[in-house]
Amino acid sequence: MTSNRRGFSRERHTELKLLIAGLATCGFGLAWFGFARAHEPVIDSAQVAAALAEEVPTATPSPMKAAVTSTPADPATANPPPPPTAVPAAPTRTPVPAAPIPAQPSPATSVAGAMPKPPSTPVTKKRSRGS
Amino acid sequence: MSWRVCALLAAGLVAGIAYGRVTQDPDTGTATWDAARAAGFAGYLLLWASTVLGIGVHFRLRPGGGPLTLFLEAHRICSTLALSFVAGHVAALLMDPVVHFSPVDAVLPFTSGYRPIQVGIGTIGLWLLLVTLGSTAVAGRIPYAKWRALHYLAFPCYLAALVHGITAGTDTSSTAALTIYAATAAATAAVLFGRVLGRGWVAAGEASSPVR
Repeated sequence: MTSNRRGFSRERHTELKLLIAGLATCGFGLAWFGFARAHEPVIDSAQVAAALAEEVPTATPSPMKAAVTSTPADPATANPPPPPTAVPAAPTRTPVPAAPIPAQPSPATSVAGAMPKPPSTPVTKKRSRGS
Repeated sequence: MSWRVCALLAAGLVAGIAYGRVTQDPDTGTATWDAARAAGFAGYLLLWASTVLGIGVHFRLRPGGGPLTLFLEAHRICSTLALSFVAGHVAALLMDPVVHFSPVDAVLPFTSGYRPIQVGIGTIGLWLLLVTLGSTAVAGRIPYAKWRALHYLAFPCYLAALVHGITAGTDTSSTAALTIYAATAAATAAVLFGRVLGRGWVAAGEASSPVR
């Protein structure tokens, strides 16, 4: 015995179905967006070590850094202002590739005791899973 | 109507996830993985809603004095939408650059390299959903008893989806995910309990009602 009542042949309440479909799609979109925002940047230990090594104060600033940071009209500085021709042009920011990160920092740049031992092999596909 | 919405939504989901796959970082991008998680949750919640609404159809509830078909149509659209989001879930996993999930893993249970048992349970749930919806699609051409027997597969289907989400999902440790799983499972158990206990009451109601 068959019946036309069952199945998908006689469907009603189109507005209700479109409403549910819209709500489900919006929920999916919000969840996708939320999951994407929940990802925190993954920082390798080598990256942290490199960043810390950059922040270690050096005894003498590099000539380029001194030329950029010092102002010629500063009366507090004992050094004479450099000649106009010696002032380098505004340094252009060169794109720094983010991918090639040294797996093992050199002994001069590593901070002993402050960072965990970096991995011996570069972690290239490390990414957080889950929230 | 339901099948058209299901097909359109599935196509839109796959297209959107493919766009995310193309625009994300080829090695470390997480767009497809996030889409797989979101689609998995959406599919599970829709499957849960379909299960509960299906039991509500059995109870012949009339929300707000509305027609009896409200629950039935909501039950239908939720089940077909669940299939759409499950399709998006599988498509996102297939497109993910890190998870090596093959079409064979999506079709054959217990063949996945990642948690084969748990993922296989999800594959079984997918097949149960396909059989349930397929039997409803041809319900007018098969005997009622056969359709009803096949329709009972919706319960193990929901159970498989629940177990798959808890055991294979990576969000199970989060409070929100645990709350979702616990609340939906408890609600389903409560409604199912009422369904079993109310069998005699519903049967009496069916005997007195001329409309099946």
